[in-house]
Amino acid sequence: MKTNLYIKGAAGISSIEPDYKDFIQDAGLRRRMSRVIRMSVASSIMAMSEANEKSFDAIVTGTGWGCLADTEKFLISIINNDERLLNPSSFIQSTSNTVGAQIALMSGDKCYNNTYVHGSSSFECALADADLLLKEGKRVVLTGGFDELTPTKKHLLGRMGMWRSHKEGEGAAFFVLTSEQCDNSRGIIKHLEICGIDENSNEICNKAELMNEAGTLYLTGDKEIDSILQKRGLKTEDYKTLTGEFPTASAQGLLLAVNRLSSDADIAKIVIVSRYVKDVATIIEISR
Amino acid sequence: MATDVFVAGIGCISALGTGVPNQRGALISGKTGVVPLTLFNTIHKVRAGEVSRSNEELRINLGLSEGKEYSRTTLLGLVAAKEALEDSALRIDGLRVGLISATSVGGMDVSELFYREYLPDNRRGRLRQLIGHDCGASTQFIYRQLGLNGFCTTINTACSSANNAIMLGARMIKSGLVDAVIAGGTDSLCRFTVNGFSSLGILDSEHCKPFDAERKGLNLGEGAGYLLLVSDKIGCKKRYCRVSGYANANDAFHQTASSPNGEGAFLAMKGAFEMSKITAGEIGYINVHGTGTQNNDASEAIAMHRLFGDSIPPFSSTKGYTGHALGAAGGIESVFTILALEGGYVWPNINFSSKMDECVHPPQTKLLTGINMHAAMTNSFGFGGNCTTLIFDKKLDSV
Repeated sequence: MKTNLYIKGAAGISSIEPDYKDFIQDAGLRRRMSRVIRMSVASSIMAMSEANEKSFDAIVTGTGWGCLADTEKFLISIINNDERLLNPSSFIQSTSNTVGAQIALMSGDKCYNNTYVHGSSSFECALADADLLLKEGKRVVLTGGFDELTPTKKHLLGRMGMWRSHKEGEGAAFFVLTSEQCDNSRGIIKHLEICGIDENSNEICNKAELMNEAGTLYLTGDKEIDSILQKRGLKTEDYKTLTGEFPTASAQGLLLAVNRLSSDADIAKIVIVSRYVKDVATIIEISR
Repeated sequence: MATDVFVAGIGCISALGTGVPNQRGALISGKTGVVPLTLFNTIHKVRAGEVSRSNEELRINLGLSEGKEYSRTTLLGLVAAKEALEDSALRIDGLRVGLISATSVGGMDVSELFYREYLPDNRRGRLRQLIGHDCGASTQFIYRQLGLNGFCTTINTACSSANNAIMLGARMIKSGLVDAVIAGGTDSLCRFTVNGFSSLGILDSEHCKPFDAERKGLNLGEGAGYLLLVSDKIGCKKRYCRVSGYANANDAFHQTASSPNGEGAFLAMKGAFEMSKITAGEIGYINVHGTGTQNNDASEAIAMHRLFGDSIPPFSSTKGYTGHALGAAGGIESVFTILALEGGYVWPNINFSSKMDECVHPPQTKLLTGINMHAAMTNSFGFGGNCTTLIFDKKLDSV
């Protein structure tokens, strides 16, 4: 789909976590929040601050794994305590829309709030909704992707053989999106594609190749796709060597792309081609 | 691009039975589908709106192959989504038909089984039981089974999820991204939610009493409800109604509790009402969220009063029939709302005996039939203050 998403602010947290006191002053609230909520809330605050925006008209988030730590905590307490005397805190925070809800709660914002939980295209679905919202007349949309890798998830994915070919990863990245260019725009997403489940790597690369022009860098999040694009003579870099593998890694990929466009004058455009394990591939085209 | 979005097919499975005719029949009869929980063992004394079919029965009826792990959420979702598609008689060839499905528990019923094995010994537990855990897994499966080809996604905003799915479906059609969409939600009962709501102290061990002064909490339910939405540019066998208004707003008050002034609910209802450009008098029925908890019903009643003043349209909660099916509630109740609008019914709010202080007008407690109504409204509110209202009307001629 053709999109018109100007990025006015972008921020994220992955391996290095900041001192959350700077973002979430209330110590009790900070303690109650799981790590993925803290990462996401802090990222959203940094992105809003970079955009120099005080408020937004919608919050749209995407997550593949959801609020895993709280989900596991509650599930384990059910089993270990034989369903007796359970603390509801982790249940309350286990739903995937907790992040969007906490951002709304902290900012007192009563606007549209939605959460996509569709595997590897969760973040791209959030971007698609953001684009619709801006076309419908909203001015500023806060959009983010987040996933947390808990010790249990890491162990389970290990048993499934994931870490034999992928690097561990997790993180949150948030973007302040508008439909109009402004002085501090950090790039524009002109094209967003969520490929079909049956599309093979060659078909996906054909779509991505159509976006090629002088000064295009392909940030890939799949080894096979990377090698096909390279063989076709395109300039590629595998961004997952930096971010690791998780369903919303493409949100981190977009953050890398935004920063790269700001720092590297030789690059005119970045096409992010991602795929998480056997899930659908996605393409995000961003230019200056 | 489409100007209007119509409902061309409906599908539903709930404690009231399988398929739309059974829902209508049970709603007319006034009999609840809520029974003492039998699906799994729990120490809690719980009544729930169970779908009275085992996973195996559901699998066989759907013609799915044996030996694979299907979450109950997936099976229930496929039954209702398939019915909606077949009801519309829409031919997918040459059209872009999407699926927007909502679920809050996903494959948790199967994950629970896995964790029982895994916790004592982390080398144990069958890994294939985790394949369906993520919410998106049920959607992908239904999408493939139905041979769809358009946009596909999953929404989880807890108990308002399915209304948000229907809202997104309408918006996607209007923007021209798809020609038709199956939109709604599916959720199954599981220990996770039974224990979650129990730990919050908001489960009624007897039949729930929505909008009653003596209400003590909710009964959980399960099922699925989907609408087949089409663009006004697409010919279809039948138009049930038009999706004329929708809005999502956030209460921004508390992670689970609703605000005393019902701000989020008020903003969602107001947004949908203004968009639909109808008058309050044209709304013949409101299917309220009405869970039966002290907090929700008081907050929702105040929000309705703020919007409609003393002339609140006839309303009822159907949670007494089905229990609260969480992420599927908005799908099931959208089907109930459309059946009311189409057939001229106002469904009774069962289990009601005494009027609550916050509500000037009591809910409708007797079945009304033969009502000539132009529009009907349905509310769904979820954790995180997520509030979504949908309005359907009978303006069936496209512009």
